[in-house]
Amino acid sequence: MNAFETCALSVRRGSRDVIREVSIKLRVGEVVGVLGPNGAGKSSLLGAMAGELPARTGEVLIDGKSLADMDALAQARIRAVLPQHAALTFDLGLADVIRMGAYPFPEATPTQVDDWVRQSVLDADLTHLEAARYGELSGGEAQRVQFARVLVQARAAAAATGHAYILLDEPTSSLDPRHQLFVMHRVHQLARSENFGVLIVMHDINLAAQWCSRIVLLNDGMVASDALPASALTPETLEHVFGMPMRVFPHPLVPQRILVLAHGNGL
Amino acid sequence: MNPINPINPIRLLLARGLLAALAGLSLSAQANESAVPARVVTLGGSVTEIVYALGMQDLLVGADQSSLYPAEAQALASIGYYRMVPSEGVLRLKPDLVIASEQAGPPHAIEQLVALGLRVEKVSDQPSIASLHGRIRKVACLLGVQERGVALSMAIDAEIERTSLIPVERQRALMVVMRSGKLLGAGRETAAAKILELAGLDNVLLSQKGYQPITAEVVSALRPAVIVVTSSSVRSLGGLEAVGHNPALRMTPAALEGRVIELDDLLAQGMGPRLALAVQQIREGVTRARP
Amino acid sequence: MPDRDFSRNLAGSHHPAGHHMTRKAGLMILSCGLLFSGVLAISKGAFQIPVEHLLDWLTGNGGALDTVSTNVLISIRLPRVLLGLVTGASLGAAGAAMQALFRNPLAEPGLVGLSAGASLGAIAAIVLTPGGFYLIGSFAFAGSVITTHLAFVLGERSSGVSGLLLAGVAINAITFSLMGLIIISADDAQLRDLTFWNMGSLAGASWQVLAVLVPWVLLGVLVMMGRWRILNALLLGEREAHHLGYALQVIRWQIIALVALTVGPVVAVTGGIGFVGLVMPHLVRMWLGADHRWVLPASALAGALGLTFADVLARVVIAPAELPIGLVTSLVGGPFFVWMLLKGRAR
Repeated sequence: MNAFETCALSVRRGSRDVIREVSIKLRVGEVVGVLGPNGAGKSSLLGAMAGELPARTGEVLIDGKSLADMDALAQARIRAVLPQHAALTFDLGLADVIRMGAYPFPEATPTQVDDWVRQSVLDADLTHLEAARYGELSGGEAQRVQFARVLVQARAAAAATGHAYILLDEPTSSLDPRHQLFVMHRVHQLARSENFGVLIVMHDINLAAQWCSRIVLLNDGMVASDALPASALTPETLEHVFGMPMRVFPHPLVPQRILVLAHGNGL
Repeated sequence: MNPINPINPIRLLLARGLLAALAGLSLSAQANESAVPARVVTLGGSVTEIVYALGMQDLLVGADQSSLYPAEAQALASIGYYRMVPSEGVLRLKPDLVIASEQAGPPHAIEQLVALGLRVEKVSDQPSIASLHGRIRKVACLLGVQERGVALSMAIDAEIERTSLIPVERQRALMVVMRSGKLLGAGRETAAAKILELAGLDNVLLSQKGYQPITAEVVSALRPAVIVVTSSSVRSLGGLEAVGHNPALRMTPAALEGRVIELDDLLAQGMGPRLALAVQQIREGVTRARP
Repeated sequence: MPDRDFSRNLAGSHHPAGHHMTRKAGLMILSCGLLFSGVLAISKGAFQIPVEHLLDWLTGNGGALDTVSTNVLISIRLPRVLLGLVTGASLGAAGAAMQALFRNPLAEPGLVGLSAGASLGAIAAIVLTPGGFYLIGSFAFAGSVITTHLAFVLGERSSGVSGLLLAGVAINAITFSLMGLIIISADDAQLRDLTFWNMGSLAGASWQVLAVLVPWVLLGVLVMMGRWRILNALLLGEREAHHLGYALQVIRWQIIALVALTVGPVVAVTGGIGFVGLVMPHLVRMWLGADHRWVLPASALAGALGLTFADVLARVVIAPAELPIGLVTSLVGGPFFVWMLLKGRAR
């Protein structure tokens, strides 16, 4: 069974462990949402899985192979990462940026790459912007361009090995509500149709609850719950993790999903 | 051209080049045997000055930027700094003879000129009287006026002899250049050292070679009784009086006893036909001194 | 975010899509310009050759050209123009690569101590050895490689390119102090020689030198051009470049080594020529966008074009004397750079 997993992973930053003995498993076809308060270790977890932070103890495995044994190129050929901030701007056309997702795959033909680019442009709702230059875009639009690039990389990886993993770090934080739903919906679809395993670090509990197949709730570097949204996000667990009372309702519009509401004044 | 064979431009180019090179070489062989040149370029201020002293300036079509004496020489086309001679620039002047100071360069440019068939003759350019006479002799020979060269050399020797008639007590002397606040002293193997020697003075900086920076402390310690300053230094310090009052030189016997002498830059830094004039100015300056 | 504005400068200004002419057309224009520049450079010079005779010669009917003119063309001008082309190409491409690597619009080959090392080598050769073209050149090349290597080794201890930048600053400072020590014992003539060396000159061109330099530099520039994907990925930032599969340590080393090995020998032959590596990539990016697939070859072409043209000016403006070419590039490049900065601010 193909999976991207961490095994009793501990990661140290500075003088303390920001991740403590975390074991999670991302399978192909799944969309896993990683939630938690600030400082819970969400970004560090993603960083360790992306090969940026070394494991202090435990290991990270992709398809059974330890990350420590894989060079940058080998990793790039099976997983794509979307960072939180598209910080830099430059004067390239959109297609040029999106096409960069295929850089780890020099064996891909231009036709193949163009196909992937075309599909990813649709998936990121960028068709009307195709003629623009990257430097002219708003923050949210730029983020969607990076998203399309990541999709190209994942598609190329899937073409090479049959599946791929995508790590998304708060992909919806700078998007408007319409595009938030658009992206989550697409991710949900693509995970199944293209054989992707997607891990999303996010803040928006309800967005995660509505679209993810599984939720990993982190608290202070450890896994507080790791299950289907309805099981992972109980009022007791939520109050314990987030330090404030929350109520869980069946989602009024989407069957079999939940809606979480916080109440009180945060004290 | 044979209409059947198409012209191959590259082969043509190479063939032409080869022929041209051979022709150039044969031209230079001819040039060596020719007598008096008609168009001369000089590289080096002293060389140019000698050409004028020999009365052959009409042959000059160009010189370098340090050829400043006599004043008419500055009107000549200048090829720039004589140690960075541009080959094409020299060729533009179409000389049939280049008389170059041995210091002229860069070496590969000079070689290039020679390889192109230009006649380039190097002359000695050291700060010694022997070098000066050798230079005069060679330039005169190249220009076909050997007798004038001999006469010039003899005249210079005679003038230097005459300067020794101005009695000067053998004493400690220092030649300085003061550029933008930095004090440089003339050590051995400079034209200035030779001039001081001919003036009957003891150069206190003989332990050093060339122009070296010196501090006020060193100057005081050396106790020069005579200080020679270049005109440009005097100008930049604001007059001979100001030189005497300069903090670095003020406490020297030379300043206290009024033996600070000004010498024209060209005279001080080059060894040319006016050598005797330089020596004379120093001797007269020493004898005229007023405490 | 400060990063965003900073790299906006690197990217040039934003143009609406229509203003970026197709990149291929841009390269074509540069190539034609280069050809024109080359012919101009061959036809102009202190030594006057009538244009009609020159054109005849170029097209194969050289009967009108006398031997001296032919010699001037073959042994002086042609090598010099070729050297200018090769020098400009290497400086332009290396400048573009450095600006991408450091994500800094002020980057150019000298940033990691290359030029300082070359100058140190040159002054050491001028003062401490008999000197001459080959000695000075070898010392300059050795100096450039040593300082670049040192800057790299020092800089690699910290992560990111800021370490490299700081190491470059440190190495430059040390190198200049060492130069100062040598300069103290130099005489006037040697000091002047160094000054001229630092201002650069294409006069050292000869067929022997070119026989070695041209293939070497062309190879280096071609390999650099082949790295366009990496440089594009670096535009996204080092983290993203890593996510795309590029091992940053290796890449930094590769690019700096490429720059040192391509520019080092050139500087050894020509002395210090500034501004070409700095300004040309900017112009090219303003015109053609930031995609390195086009920026690298275009910078090489633009560099070759610009330097060849600058050399024409150097040889003609005060003929029969010559201006050092580094002086021309600074005199033209400096104000132009100021204009670019002002224009940027006005937007």
